[in-house]
Amino acid sequence: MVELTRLVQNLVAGVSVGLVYGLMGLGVVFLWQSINRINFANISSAMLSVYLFFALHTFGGLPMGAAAVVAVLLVGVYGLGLRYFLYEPITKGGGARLEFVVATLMLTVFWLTAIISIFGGMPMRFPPLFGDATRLVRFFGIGVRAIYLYMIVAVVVLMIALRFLLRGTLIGKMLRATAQSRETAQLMGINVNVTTNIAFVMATTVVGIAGLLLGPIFHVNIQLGGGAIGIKGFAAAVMAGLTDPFGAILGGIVLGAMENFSTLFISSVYRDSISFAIIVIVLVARPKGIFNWSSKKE
Amino acid sequence: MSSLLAVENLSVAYTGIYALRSVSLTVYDGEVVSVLGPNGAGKSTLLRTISGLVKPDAGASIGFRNRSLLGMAPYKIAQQGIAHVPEGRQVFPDLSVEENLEVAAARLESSKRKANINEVYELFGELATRTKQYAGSLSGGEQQMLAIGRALVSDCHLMMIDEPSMGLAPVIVMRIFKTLRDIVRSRGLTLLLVEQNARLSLQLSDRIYVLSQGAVTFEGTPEQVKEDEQMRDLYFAAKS
Ligand SMILES: Nc1ncnc2c1ncn2[C@@H]1O[C@H](COP(=O)(O)OP(=O)(O)OP(=O)(O)O)[C@@H](O)[C@H]1O
Ligand SMILES: [Mg+2]
Repeated sequence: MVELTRLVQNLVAGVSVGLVYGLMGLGVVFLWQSINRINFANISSAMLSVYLFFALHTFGGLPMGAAAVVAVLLVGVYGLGLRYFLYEPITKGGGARLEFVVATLMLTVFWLTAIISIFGGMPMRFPPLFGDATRLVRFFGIGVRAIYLYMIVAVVVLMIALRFLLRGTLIGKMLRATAQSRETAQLMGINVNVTTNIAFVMATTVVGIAGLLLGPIFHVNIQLGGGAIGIKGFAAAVMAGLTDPFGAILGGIVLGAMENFSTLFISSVYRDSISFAIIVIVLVARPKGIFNWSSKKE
Repeated sequence: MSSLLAVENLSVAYTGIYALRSVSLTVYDGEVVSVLGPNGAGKSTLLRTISGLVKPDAGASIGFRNRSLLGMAPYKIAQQGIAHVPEGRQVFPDLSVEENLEVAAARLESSKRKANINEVYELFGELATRTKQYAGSLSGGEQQMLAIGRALVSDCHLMMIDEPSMGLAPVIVMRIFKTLRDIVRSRGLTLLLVEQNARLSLQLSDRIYVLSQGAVTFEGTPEQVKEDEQMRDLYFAAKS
């Protein structure tokens, strides 16, 4: 039997990392909703923000807080670059979804090789943006690593802010309207050019923030720019059916908890294989997303 | 009288097949103009081209208040004061009734927006009791009211409606046409109506255009329609 405290510790760790996967999933959802494209370079934003933060602090001499803010802002601007240097030219040239998929896959590889040639491929120490991230914080006799609490607080605050933006402000309602029908939104006088830009910026910004939250665990590491982590953020979005930002967060939680428990009960060696097996099974069983209970017809 | 909307020599082709062939149409300020025609005649294409969603062939001109709409982005055309109530209503299904109205009036000052939304609630009591309901779960009739409401809250000068009667029970259709008539009278709104229901359109309209296979085949007043033997046979044969 696994003791209760370890169970709770693993649950907290799993859920918090899962929340961050969900945050990455949001990046996928935002672009899917606004331009109907899957951005396979979604994860690159996480790596870019971590390396930017690292460089701005270590070489640029910026204090950690400022370096983190500037890094996330730059990644937001990079979102506009994605639109104007990738999406728009492809679309103007008559390219559709497949072309976008291939282009963004290439882009992931480009960023990986670019980062390796600038920083080398070896992981570097993540500056202590969150203090001593691995220290134990005790609750009712259960020790939880500080970074997990930071993750939970950060994602919960972000989700509340996002919910307010999307439901409580006019611009958020216009974003949702554009996502539901670009054409009708235009007939209502909504400048879809602006709402699309906002969606691109939001998509890369949330992933940039997710990257910084994962920094203390994964370090300044090219792992953050592809592979398993990227696919998990992606899976969180797909498991939720790609349309619901809050569903993506839930998808992330399920994923995070699942992989932590498989480590606990089975073996960490099989962690990723088990996670991916479950993702595949979920997608086959519920291709429209596990949380898609609505009776809405397509 | 100066024209509010002047469309001249409008031709539109979809992948080589012409949906509109040098169509010309004029709408004067305060008028109700109906465009009638069978399925596939090009009625929706006409409205969509005016809205900027579809690009016409070279040589066309579309003027609204003496300003060319050609090449203007659809959202800018809407901001000129043209509200297009599209075919099939196209409410935003996952926005509430109120949010649908809010985004349609987003350009207005918030006090004006609220006042306009309240006016729509007075006009359509059904919407007033369902402000928080998702538009996708409204009945067809309620969705049509919401679609018209979205046009009204935008403070448009020209409302273009594409087949408001589509798929609705006769009682609801009567109700919607009555409301349209009231709005036109009380607000001096100009209406460009696309319909297949000739009877109702004739009662409401000052002038009629008939489109057939992409070309205007008749143009005149409701009286002229009734006098025209061919038109009468086409539209009223079965019923009179
Ligand atoms: N996006 C499109 N691509 C290709 N052809 C189209 C497109 N939209 C319309 N058409 C064609 O253009 C012609 C006119 O269509 P349109 O929708 O304007 O007719 P309509 O008069 O509105 O018909 P209805 O009364 O059935 O709504 C039809 O032959 C239609 O098949
Ligand atoms: Mg039509």
